[in-house]
Amino acid sequence: MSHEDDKAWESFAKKAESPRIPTPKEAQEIFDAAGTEALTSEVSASIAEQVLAGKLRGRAPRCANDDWLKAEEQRYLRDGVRQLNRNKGDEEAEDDDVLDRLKSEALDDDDDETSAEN
Amino acid sequence: MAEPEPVLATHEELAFRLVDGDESVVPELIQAFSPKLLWILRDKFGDLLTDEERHDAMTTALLKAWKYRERYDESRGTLAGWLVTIAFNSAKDLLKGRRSVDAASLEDPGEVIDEFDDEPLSAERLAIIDEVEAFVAGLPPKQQEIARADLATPGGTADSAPLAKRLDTTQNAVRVQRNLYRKKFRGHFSSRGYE
Repeated sequence: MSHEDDKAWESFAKKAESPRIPTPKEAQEIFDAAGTEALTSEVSASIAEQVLAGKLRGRAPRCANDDWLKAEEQRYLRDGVRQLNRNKGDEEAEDDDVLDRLKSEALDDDDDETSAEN
Repeated sequence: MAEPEPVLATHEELAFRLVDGDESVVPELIQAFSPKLLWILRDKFGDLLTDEERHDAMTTALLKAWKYRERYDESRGTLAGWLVTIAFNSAKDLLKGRRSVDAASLEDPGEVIDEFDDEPLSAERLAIIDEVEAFVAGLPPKQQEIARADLATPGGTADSAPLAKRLDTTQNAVRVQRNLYRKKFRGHFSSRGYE
């Protein structure tokens, strides 16, 4: 990614933020025009408990594709270690296969990017 | 004989008791404001937030209002407006990737608690908003979703993890699509004379 592309986007995104934080007057208008979503008494009680305790009930942070990430990270670490520990003259067919696969995946990434652009 | 309707406190009374630190006001605040705050977060942020995140943003807003209650200044806006503004900020924190379970986000009252900016938008800014919205509307669907999430996030870049989940793709794919739309954006805006 070009740093210049990011800078250009971020400078405009700041001015065109949407939804932007409303002014006090707008916020009051939004509130007045709003519908409602009912809460059960259990949920209301839970919220009151959290507010008075001064902290939200702990919830494990989410991470999308968590399992995929774990598997991918493990594979990359394993392959990276294999590559780092490879001494000149000690090449093994299995290591060569891994390197070929990594090169092929890197090239595939380029292909994905090109096809996504088209 | 029918039971008399309970008399609900006015928002001004609730604000007074909030600032006074009266703990018994908390359930009343929740009753008076939460149903509307949840509706507003859905209306304004749509699919950008999950139901769980909307509840987190609403609860965080009430929690911050209680924790920083001494900062409420009725001369700068109503309690309802103040809560709406804090709820917007809490939702944006979530989009940026600062998880609500992160205690640091509760220690930081956020600019909005101290700053009630009531300046109208300039004509130049309105024109930029129109241009950016038109550009985003013309993007392919996935790039459009990512750009909309980015536009809703302070700093202009939303957390890739929840976006990837929502779009049923990988974080790497989100980054690739983000790079593509930003490249187009820079070219488009340069060609229109913006720098």
